[in-house]
Amino acid sequence: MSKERIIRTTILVAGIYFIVEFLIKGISSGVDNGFFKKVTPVFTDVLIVIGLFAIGIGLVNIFMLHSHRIIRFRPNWEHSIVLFVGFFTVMTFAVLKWTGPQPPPGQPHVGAGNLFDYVVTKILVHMNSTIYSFLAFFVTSAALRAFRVRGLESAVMMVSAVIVLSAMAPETSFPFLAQFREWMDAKINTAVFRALTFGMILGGITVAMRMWLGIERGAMFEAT
Amino acid sequence: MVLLTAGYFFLSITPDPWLQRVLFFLFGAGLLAYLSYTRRGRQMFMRRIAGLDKIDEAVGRAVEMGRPVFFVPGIGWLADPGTLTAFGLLERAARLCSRYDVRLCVATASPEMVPVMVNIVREAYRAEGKHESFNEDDIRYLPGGQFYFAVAAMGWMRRERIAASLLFGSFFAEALMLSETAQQLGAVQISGTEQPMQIPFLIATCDYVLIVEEYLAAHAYLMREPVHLASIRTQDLLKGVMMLLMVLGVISATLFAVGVIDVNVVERFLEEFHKPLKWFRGGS
Repeated sequence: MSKERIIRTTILVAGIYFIVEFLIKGISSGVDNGFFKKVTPVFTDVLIVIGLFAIGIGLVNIFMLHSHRIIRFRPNWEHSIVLFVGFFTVMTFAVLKWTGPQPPPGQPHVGAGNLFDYVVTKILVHMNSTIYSFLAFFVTSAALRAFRVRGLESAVMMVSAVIVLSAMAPETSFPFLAQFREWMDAKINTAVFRALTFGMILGGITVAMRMWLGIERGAMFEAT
Repeated sequence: MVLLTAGYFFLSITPDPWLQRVLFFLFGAGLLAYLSYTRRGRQMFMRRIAGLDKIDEAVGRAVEMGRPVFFVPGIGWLADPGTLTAFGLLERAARLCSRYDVRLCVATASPEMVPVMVNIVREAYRAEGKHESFNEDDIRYLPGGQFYFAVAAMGWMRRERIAASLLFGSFFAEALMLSETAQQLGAVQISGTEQPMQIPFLIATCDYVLIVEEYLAAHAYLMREPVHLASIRTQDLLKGVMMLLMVLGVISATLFAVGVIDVNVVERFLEEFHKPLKWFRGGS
């Protein structure tokens, strides 16, 4: 059997299983309470195992890329050294945490075991928040460009944005703007958003159906 | 007709919410009908989607500038419809890049996508007879989660001074970071996502945006095979049914509210449709 056929058959069989499970879920015949409740966790476990393999593949990808860069002194090879140092340091801290003496429930680790928590709560969380806060600057620069009036559409967008911003100001001197903003949000924005959501659901069903029935084509299936 | 009848009786033994199952069977019946229609050799019209036609131009611009094309397949799960669509577009981009000898840089936040994307890009290069030009190092897993991925991808974009950016897939808050960075670099940007929340940000920063449904239809648009067109036509049919129900529902509810009619006709129709289903289940 060719690789393509194996992929398509696996998708079809798995699709049939989950669609049947979805369709008869909740029937009080006992079918879903017995067979599906036993088999579905097995499928879930298989997915977790495949996911773990994928993480391994991702790590291999990173190691190959950065080790080649260091060995061949490619541009920015110093960054790759920092990556490896960071990777092995955090991994060592994690191992120390999970293999060292465990504190009573609810108590923090002490000594070497605390290093991992320190890295996560004192460094990673703050770095994540910092990166997230960049968004404010990106939004501002994108908004400045988007609000240039170049036609009817951008004019409507700009006027709407001014109304919304004015209405959101803490000390607005135009109370009617707040009402107008609420009306835009409740009527126009909600209607548009729901229309997009309908499209998303129907489009998702279509893609899933094409994939399940094996009528999707492309390099994803044609690998040899 | 047989399928619809069988579907209706099958629905009768299934629990609520029943509308999902109705849609499922309607889709199956519609797809079969349109497939048989197209297999008789009849043509189906699909309107032009400007953003997809411009992918060729974006790659052409990269050729002129001698800089890479950057592709991100979103940060969604491997089996998301948005991610699966992105794979189809990645194949298209990889074929064009290999044909014109342009470097294609692909960044992903999900390790499970790496082997799939390597496979897709390698096959695309092979199909164009440029297998020796394929460089696996240009398909990179950038770990750490959403924002670390965004920062790493932004850094990569800046170092390579990309000429074109193709952002297709499930995007969240990082969409604006990636697209604004490419905008600052002066890159041609084409994006598409099925996440409605990100559409305004992409419209503000990108040259062309495929909005939700357009994006999910992208692979079918590029393939243009009868089965793909049949699936898109079935999707339109379902949307038409839902829109009709909504319009009739609004009219019926309005007339009922102002006292022109005594019964909300659409509500009654749905109740009557649902009644046998409840009866078959022996439910309330």
